[in-house]
Amino acid sequence: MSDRFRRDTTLPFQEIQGQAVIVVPARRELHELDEAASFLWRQLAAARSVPDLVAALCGEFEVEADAAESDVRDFLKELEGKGLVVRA
Amino acid sequence: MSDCSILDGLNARAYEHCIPLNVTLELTLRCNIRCTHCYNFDRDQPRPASGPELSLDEIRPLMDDLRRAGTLFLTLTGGEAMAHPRFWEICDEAASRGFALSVLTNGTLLTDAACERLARIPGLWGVSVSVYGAVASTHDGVTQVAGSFERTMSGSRRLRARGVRTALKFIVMKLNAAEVGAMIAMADAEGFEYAVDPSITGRYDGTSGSLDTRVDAAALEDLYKGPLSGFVGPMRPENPGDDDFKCNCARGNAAVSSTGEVYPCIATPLRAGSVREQPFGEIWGTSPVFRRIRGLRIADFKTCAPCGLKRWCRRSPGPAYLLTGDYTGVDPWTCAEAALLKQLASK
Repeated sequence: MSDRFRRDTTLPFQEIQGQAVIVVPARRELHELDEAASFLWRQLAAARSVPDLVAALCGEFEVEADAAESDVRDFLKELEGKGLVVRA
Repeated sequence: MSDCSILDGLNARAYEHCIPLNVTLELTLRCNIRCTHCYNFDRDQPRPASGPELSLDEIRPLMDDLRRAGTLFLTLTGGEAMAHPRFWEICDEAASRGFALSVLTNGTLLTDAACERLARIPGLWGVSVSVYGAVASTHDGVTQVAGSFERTMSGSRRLRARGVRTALKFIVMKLNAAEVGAMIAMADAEGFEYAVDPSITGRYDGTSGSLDTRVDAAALEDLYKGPLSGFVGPMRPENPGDDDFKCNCARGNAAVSSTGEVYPCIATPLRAGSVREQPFGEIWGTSPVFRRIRGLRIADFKTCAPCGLKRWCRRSPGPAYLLTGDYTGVDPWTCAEAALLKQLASK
């Protein structure tokens, strides 16, 4: 199983005032991400590993690496579970 | 947060911050049926002269512009959108840009192959199919094309069977008013989502023959006492504020006609600019027409402002504009409907 992730490029989405809104038409679902999650979503336009995302998050927000890694893993687990993010 | 509340929240933000979240793109005025109530033009007459339709080469940068402006939900309509010779390419272009795509159609072109192809479009949010009766003779009487009911309904069933969200849109008029209950029962029995709309507008070409198809006051009362009784209710608070009275036109909604004219919505052909002259984003941000609409207050709706029916009124600017040429004008049919709704709700 790949350790790199990317967003599912088949899903409609738009950034509304800096927050990503993702649509899952097959399930009639809408998902709205907060600022940090929207930042990670933007990073996932290309395949990224957990360390890639942690480094990007630490570069953008004032957050310790350990906390950032925990946040990134939670984010990926949640969005992969919802089918919004896939293994690259 | 539920998906409905996310969508409501998005529309509220689009309204507040004027983000064109929902855009309708009219691909063509061509159509393969000849509905008596069509708002495009009188289909018993030759098609009025107009500029050439937007080409695919014009639609691509328009879509890019819409993305930059904040559009998420893109609806393709016509005429008959599926009759456009580049329909599938346009769908693919929309999907590749990340739009949640909807298609409004008369359903007659929903063949097996078309349904299969629609079902494969990533990002297809749904298809809305116009239906004008519960039986073929009624529906075909409206479309003036024999066999259209069978094609529309069988196409709708095929599409839904492939997992595409397929909603029936019932337009209520004199010819089918007695069948509205049966139309709803048909949708319920087959598990279709549906919407019911008794409002008919004048036409883009300035003719008003479509209005002859509207139900009269007596028929409307029968409908709201009968099959549409569930729709009787207030539209807004007792004393609505400016934002309670206005709709999302030119704030969260916009439309682009088949020749590139930009409107506040597809039902209100009030020209704000042309994407052939200016990018959509510029028109959206600078058009005096849009600025005026955004700045309207209840007091600017001279007839509506003092009216005691505002709470019950289902006013849409389209019919009023097409009837009076004034965005803030009044369609008396809508006033009669509001009076009826108030009367029925008080019983």
